[in-house]
Amino acid sequence: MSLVVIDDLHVSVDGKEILKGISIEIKHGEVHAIMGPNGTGKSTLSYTISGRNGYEVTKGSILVNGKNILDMDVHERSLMGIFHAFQYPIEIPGVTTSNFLKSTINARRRYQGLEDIDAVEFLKLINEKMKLLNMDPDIIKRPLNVAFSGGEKKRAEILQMSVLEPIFGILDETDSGLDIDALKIVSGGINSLINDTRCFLLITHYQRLLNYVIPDYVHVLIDGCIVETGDKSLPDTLEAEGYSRFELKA
Amino acid sequence: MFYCQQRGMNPEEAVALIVNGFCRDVLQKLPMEFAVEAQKLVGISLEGSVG
Repeated sequence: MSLVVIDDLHVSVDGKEILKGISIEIKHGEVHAIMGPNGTGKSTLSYTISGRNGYEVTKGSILVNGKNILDMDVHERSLMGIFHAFQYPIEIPGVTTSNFLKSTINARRRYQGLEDIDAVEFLKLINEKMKLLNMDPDIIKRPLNVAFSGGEKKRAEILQMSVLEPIFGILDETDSGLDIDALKIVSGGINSLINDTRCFLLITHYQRLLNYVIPDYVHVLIDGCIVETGDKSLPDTLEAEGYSRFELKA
Repeated sequence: MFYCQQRGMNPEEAVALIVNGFCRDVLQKLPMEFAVEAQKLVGISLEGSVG
């Protein structure tokens, strides 16, 4: 059974239908990419999966690890292993990155019936993950995302993902705002997490992230529908021809 | 709120974290003796107040 099964998903926002019957199956170990122009429903799909208010599922279902997640609260979805890396990570004044990470780790540990993480173990874990992402160790003393550069915010998202070890990671425009060096580091972070216990959905405008994190399948989303699914060579075609060739079909 | 919950905190934990952080941010701008007292008060009044 596939790890993620999205079946005929219809989603409305403010009464307007944005997703018009999306079906995607992602197996263990697979990376799928969703590409498409602005305003076609890419972010709607990620918010619907993570469970944000205001994204009304009018038809269809989403199963993750065999469970229907649509009846679950946002934090329950997170605790069962869904991680959504945000396009625009939220600033949390007064809460250090270190404190935030500890809160997320402990929420997960309590859910698993474990004791809170001890300070030494925590620091060891964080330092190891930060080194992998080439992050300044002092960043954990600063309030989360407050006055972070675009690249620092995206790295902080991947840092959280790597400590929470999700089974289903959704990366919404993680490549936007990154220079080429940061893109390589962030891609390396994502690649280090890919294994047979989890799967990923990459949402992106551009091909460049997909040069570093190689997808198994690429879906093109236009006007709330998947108009084409291909392998890793599809982005090359898109890059050359643009999305205009789909506009006649859509 | 949504962001914290997406990271696994339940609504009560998320509110406590955000409010505490916000207060800390403000309290840091106060003189030391005030700040210590006020932080204790925030801790007390938050317990069990959300849910």
